[in-house]
Amino acid sequence: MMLIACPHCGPRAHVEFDYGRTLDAILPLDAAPEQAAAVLYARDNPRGVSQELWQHTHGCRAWLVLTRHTVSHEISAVVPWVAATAAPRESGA
Amino acid sequence: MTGPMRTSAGGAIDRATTISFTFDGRTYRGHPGDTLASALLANGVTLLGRSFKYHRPRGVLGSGVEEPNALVGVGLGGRFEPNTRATDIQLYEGLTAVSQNRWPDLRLDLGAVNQLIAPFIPAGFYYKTFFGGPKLWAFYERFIRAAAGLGRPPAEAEVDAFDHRAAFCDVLVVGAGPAGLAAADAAAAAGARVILAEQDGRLGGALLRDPVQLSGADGLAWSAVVADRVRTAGGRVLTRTTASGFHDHGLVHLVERRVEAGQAPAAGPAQRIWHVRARRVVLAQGVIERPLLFAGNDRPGVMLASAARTYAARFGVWPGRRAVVAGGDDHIYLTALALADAGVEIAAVLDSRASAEGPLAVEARSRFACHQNARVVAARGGTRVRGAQAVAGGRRLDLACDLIAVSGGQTPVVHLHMQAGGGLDWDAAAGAFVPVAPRQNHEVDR
Ligand SMILES: [Zn+2]
Repeated sequence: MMLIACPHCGPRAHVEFDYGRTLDAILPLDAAPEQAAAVLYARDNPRGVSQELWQHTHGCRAWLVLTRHTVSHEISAVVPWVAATAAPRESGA
Repeated sequence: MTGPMRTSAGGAIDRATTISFTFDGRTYRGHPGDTLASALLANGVTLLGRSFKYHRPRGVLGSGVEEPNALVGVGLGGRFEPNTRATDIQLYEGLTAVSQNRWPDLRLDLGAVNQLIAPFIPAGFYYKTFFGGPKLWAFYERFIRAAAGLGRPPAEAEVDAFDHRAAFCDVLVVGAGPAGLAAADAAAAAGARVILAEQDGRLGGALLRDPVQLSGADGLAWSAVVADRVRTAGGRVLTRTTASGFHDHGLVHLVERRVEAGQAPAAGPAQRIWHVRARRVVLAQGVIERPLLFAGNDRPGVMLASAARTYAARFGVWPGRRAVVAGGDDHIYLTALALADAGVEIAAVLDSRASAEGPLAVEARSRFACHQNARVVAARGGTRVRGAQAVAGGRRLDLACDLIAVSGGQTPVVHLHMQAGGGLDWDAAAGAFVPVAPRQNHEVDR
């Protein structure tokens, strides 16, 4: 059972969290059906470092971006989704 | 004296107190500190079960969790537990044990005729492999169902409670032999929060069977001092507690047996699962001795050399009265000398190597018949060993004995290390696969 260091709550067992999806499987709201199918069903399944969305459901309920190795389960970074997306949002504004 | 095979003194048993227990309806006596296996051996009971398919007689091979043969049912009603290792049950007053896989009883077992037709049953044959359509199966099934499996499930619902508990520590040490105790001691002295888990009821590991001096004291006295120091520093020392799983990010599951199989707890749960999240894990689980291959190596009276030493030193029990000791390293000389000191006659020491010049070998040669280039070919006897057929330098030997103590080398206990993703490497000098490259925050003693 993995230990996920929530930036708000500290290290917690992964049963407190719910897995969302990998970052590259996030779908734009106006995606065409072909694009949606490609993103949701034909995405990479990397053996190695993966960027994933997890929600601390049984804690602060924040969405977090984990950088996790899919073989060793080593988690090298946990960043709140808000912080992870702050920079692109600002540049887009 | 509790039985004809009990030595007159020594061992980590309380000889002043006597405990009575039953095996297959007969009452026997033992002492606090005994296991069910040691108490039965002390009483001269060597036939403890029958094998799964051919109903071959089975006795005690080991002295702990490594035991493959001496499986018994323990307890009554809602506390009955089948397939319990007799070597891993601490004796308690009123313990009730039954043998398994025999009908009508252990000595006269009709299933043993399977041994006679064994040449006609192909290897790998399983009871389910009966052909001939549904009607024939309906006929076979009664007999096959009766023959299948080992032991019987409990007939009544479990009456005791079981709970679980979460814990955190800086250093979890698995195994309280000298290495584990020293690791826990050092970690506690450095201010770490320590949990030390030992599956045996007593601390000391190999010190319980092979007495040595540590820091100028008797090894077991040293163990007690160290464990006290760990407790005083705020550490937790858990006995009868087995680490059963090493999961991601330093999560280790421990199973704590608060009472023995079949025993009623005075209060609280019978067993407890600990979910320990440890910053560092030290695996000091020791080794398990390998058996040797020869005809009849499962016959009662064939025993691991380490187990034979354990029964003599820890339990004050003669594992036999006349022993053949066989193997391929100096453990056989250690065993022969220890057994002889406990009062066991040594018929011969059979060393598979061409020569042995260590101090133990030299001393053993001055006291017993020792053979080089020698090995056991077969164990003679029926429901117990009556002798050993051996070859020594191309010459046949026929040795009368009631114990064949074997040592096929020592295999490190690597299960948790492997489960945590660690690697193995062949060590030619040790003659074993040894743990290397731990992947989680754990270390292994080499
Ligand atoms: Zn949180």
